[in-house]
Amino acid sequence: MARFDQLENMYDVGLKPVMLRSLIRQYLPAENHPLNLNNSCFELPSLVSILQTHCLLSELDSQSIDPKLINTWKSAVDDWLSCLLSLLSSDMSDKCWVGICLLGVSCQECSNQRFLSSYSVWLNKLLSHIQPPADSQLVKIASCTSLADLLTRLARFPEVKKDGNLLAGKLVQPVLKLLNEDNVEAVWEGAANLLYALIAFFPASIHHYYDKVEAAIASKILSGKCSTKTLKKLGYCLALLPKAKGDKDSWSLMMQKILISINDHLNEAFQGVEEEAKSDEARRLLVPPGKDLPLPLGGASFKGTSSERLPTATISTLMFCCCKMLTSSYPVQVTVPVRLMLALVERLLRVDGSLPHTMLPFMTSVQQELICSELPVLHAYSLELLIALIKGMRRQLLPHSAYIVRVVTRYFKRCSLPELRIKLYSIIRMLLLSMGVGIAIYLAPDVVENASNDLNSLDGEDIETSPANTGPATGALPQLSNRKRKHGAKTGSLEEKQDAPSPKVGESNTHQTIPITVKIAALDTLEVLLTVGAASKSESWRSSIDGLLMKTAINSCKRGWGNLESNIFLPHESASVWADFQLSSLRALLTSFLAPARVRPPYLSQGLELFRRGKQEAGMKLAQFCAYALFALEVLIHPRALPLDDFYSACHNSTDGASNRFLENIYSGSRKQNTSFLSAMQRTEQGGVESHDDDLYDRWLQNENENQNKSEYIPVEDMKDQTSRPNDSSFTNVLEVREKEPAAANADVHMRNENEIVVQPWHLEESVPKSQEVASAKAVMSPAVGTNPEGSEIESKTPLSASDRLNDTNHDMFSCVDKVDGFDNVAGKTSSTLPNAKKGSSSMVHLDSDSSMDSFPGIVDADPDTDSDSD
Amino acid sequence: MEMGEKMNKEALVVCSDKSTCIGITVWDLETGEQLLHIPTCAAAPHGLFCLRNQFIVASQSNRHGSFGGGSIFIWPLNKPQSPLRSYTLEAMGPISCTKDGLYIAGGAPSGNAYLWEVTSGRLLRTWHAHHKSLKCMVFSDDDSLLLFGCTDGIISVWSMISLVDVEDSGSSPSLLYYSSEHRSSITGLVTMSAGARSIFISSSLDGTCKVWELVSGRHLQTLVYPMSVTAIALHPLERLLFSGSVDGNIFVNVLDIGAVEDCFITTEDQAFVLKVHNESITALTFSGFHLISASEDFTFCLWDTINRVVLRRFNNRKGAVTNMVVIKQSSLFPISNHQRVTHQFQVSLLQKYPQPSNPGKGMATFLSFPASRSKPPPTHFLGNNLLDHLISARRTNTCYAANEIGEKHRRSTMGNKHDKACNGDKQAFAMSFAGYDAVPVAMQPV
Repeated sequence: MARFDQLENMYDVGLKPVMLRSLIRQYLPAENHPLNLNNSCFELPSLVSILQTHCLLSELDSQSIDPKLINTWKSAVDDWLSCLLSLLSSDMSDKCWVGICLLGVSCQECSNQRFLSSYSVWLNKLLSHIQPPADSQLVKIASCTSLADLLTRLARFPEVKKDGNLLAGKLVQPVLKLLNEDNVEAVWEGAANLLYALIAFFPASIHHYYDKVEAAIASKILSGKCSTKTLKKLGYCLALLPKAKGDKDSWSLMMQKILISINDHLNEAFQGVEEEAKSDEARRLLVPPGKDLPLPLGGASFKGTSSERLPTATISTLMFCCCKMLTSSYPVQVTVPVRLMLALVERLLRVDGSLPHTMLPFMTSVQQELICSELPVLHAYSLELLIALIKGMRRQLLPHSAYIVRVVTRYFKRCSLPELRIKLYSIIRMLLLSMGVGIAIYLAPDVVENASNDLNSLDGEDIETSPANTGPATGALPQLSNRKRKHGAKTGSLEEKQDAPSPKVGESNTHQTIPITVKIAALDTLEVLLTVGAASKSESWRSSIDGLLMKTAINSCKRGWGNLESNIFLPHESASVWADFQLSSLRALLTSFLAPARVRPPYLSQGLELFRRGKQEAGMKLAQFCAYALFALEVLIHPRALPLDDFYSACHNSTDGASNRFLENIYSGSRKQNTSFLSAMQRTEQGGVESHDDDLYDRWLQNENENQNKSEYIPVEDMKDQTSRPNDSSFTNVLEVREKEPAAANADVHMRNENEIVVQPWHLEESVPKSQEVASAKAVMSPAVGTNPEGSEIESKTPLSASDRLNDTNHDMFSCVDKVDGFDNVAGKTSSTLPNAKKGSSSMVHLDSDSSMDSFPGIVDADPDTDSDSD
Repeated sequence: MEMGEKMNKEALVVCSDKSTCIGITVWDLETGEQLLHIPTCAAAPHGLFCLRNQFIVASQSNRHGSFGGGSIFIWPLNKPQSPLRSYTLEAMGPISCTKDGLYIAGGAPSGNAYLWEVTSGRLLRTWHAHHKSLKCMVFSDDDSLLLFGCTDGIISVWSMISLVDVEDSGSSPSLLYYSSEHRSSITGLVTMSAGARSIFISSSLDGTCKVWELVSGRHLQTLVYPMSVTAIALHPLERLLFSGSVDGNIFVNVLDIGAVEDCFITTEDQAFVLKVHNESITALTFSGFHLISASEDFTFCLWDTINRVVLRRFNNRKGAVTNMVVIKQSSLFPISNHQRVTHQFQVSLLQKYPQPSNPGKGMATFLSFPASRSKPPPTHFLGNNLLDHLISARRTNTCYAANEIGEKHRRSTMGNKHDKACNGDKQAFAMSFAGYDAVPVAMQPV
């Protein structure tokens, strides 16, 4: 009781030895007491939890507390450990098991000093439990785990590396024995855990047993008679094994062995569903002519297991192994047979269970059924392999990326299983992020097509909950924009479109319902595409994607806000999948607003509304994102023309006339404007910049005159106006303005040629009243000098007809986007035509316009000899 | 501490194109000291760059041997005595490398272009890109596009992916587009990294700089100067463009590419001018926020662009500087002094001829493991999870008391009823252990 009085609170160090002693009393079974198994099972977790929460074994704070307390704590820990060790040496396997588990915990929790002084004793104690006299499986598994923890801790002390390697070396053979001779899978898994710790932390200890370890693991994998989880653990160990030697050759050899083994298994499995030539080709790539075949994986041949079952487990484990080899670190640079692995991926993805004509007579339906049932797993693993290649090689994959694009896009057309599609989307995201805009050019058409299909189709829940909504859900947006152009003057909201007969997008809807997880993947991919490739040739698909993303976001939020908080009664996925969908759709929407475009985002006001609502109503994660979105959009809505601090201050301080003139020019745009709306907007934006000017008061008066209060609301009204009437003229005007650009450019060029006077483009003035947004973007420039609507029409015909011609001449053009307007639907998959660029600058020449071809050399793989001769 | 400071300090590498005896000089910009001199190098304009902060690469403008080929030298910065001398079919003019240092591109006066893989030295592609001599080349910010500027004013943009395509099925043209808006030789190309909207700027002897959209090739803006522009550089914050002209003046413009499109800007009254050089500017670059300008008048200057004063003026005496590259001083330290680099980036001799593709061997690529250079990741204990598994599995088993298999178990000391059940449990548990990977552990979190 006196002791109790001394304790201040739960943080008092004096509490710890006391608690530890009572734990020993309460939970650890006495010497000759039988263990109540039931109780200990329930009690152990709470025991461990108390130990860890209060750091009862840590013996910390040795300086700040008085030595008496230190001694008390030390003796308490001593007692604890001696108790454990006596449990460990008990004959009863239950007691032993408890002792081993708790010793593992003690390895993690005890102080460094104590660990270093006693790890070898513990290791030897634990070792005795995985060696022959031990026969309880449970004890073996627990010992493996505790030993793995001991090694993990030991690896943190570089000063005992040598001793560690020595001790770890003692473990290798017992572990191999467990793998080879024990017949219980759980023990194999325990052994795999320990093996992993050995390879990962003490690779030198494995060095002598390299081949034996390889053989032991390989035999387990090739037999394929374990659960996936155990196989994966073993596969991981095999992948890390070359680290034990750490040189270039062992890595390459291991990779080659694994690939050959995969290939052999595939040859067997794909008999009948694949042309013979394929397997021969793979073989030829695997073993280059003139080279010897390496020993099979694991040393001896493990062929001929069972012919009724496909060796899917083995193949997939070996592929998993390849993945891990590609993505784990390795001490030296190695040569990766990229081409070979890509060929393997392509080979696997090509087999879809259909029978080639030549094979028809040799296959039974049972065989086909067997293959078809296993194929999804194999496809999934080959996609994993592709992912690992991209992750591991990054930009070194560039010479192969065109090939990958071909494989991926081809597979995209056929892949319809949700899980595979999600993987495929993630591959595309990785490609886009690692290869940049260059690959976006090639991938965009397929991504846009597939993502549009996935997002446009109904998901299961939609059908169940709202059958009436099939109209808007299936109505493809491109169609909507068609209508906009036809009925330019009609005003109506998006909802009003629903009465229109919206035909089911039959050909694009390959699947009736698309799971939400696939939609999430599609949204994420569109987001990345917009981030990386919005600047690239996006004219053909941009407007339809913007619309699609807006629609998806609205649909995702119309049933209220999902909750990311997990529900204890449901598996995590199902509880939060809807919220994930909302988050993804909002993220994609934000990206579509922020991605570079020529026009102000048409759905901005709806989007803002959504974000505002989400910020107020949604759960934490969504609300946080909505707040972020509003924050990010602020710069778009009210562009901040922040000065470069140093630069402007320098300009101000200097008395140089040039810099004053320069400043004047920058700001003159706003002063000269006669449209009150525009100038008001600019003034409010530039207020911060100009606040130090001494004519602040003058401008304040000016603002007063123009009724600043009102003008501040104008932008909002204008946007609402525009978006609530999607059919009105403002939208078409944007198009008109774009069409006129070539004319403007031409005019500029001509004028400049004649007398080198810089002429202001004249089409700006005209566009101001029709499309405020475009005008406001350009209004910083000087006022216009004249209008010529007639001329612009004449001029604008040229680009139109030019692009028409392009349409006709390019037979291989791949038009994936519904016709939005005359020239936007040219979505050249691989072609280099750029209708808009064509319009943008008159002297831009394109490969596809035949007139220009002769003016420029084609792509010739030059014969270097002739060139150097001519030099 | 001094060491740490030195690590972050920058140095300037300069070289000339006139005579090989001038060589490469590395200067400390702060002190004006000469840090290193490498003899025998004369590189054409845009023919010098720093590879991965470890190597200086320069194309040699003089011919080698009787065959009239060219050469590219690669000096490890921390061991400059032993350069890697690669010989090429033609004399190389401009050369450039990707940001990740994996590929090197070179252009010849004949208009031919070459593309190498650095780690293997393989000549991936050679092709006739232009009719006239190539003046400068640059990779886009994400390294996926390659831009050429030619003496006839033509700019061409190529897709790296189809250029280096090993299969080369010919399905995708490598040339994205080209433009002949400039009326005279291109003198500089710079790409901007600003966000998703990739943009590049070209300068030309016709007295203009043009702003372009990189992928579409759309021409956005023209800046008109009173003189031929011989060199350009972008301020690191990418709002200011510095254009050196043929009379030695450097014009400074504010770039406003956000909103303005299709416009001409005369720069005479909008830009301010940095005046110190008497003759044509040959190169511009940045060290931090300080501009460095080099001129035909044999000098190069370090500028404070805020106050527009010259901080330091260097005199190269022997010849005009044509190439300048800013490097980290730390890369000059010998390896022993440097952090221990177990994973030196591999550079091979650049091959002279393209290799016929060998399906077995040629397709392999070098893999550098980025993880191995960083610290080992924090390790986690297996036990925490596994203990919970063991406990929950064991508990489940005691509840179900499935003991059909375990009867053969023995142990004389434990003959009681409890022990039998216990052994059975273990067996059953062991058999079913693998099934527990998905079971949420309903105990307290560990």
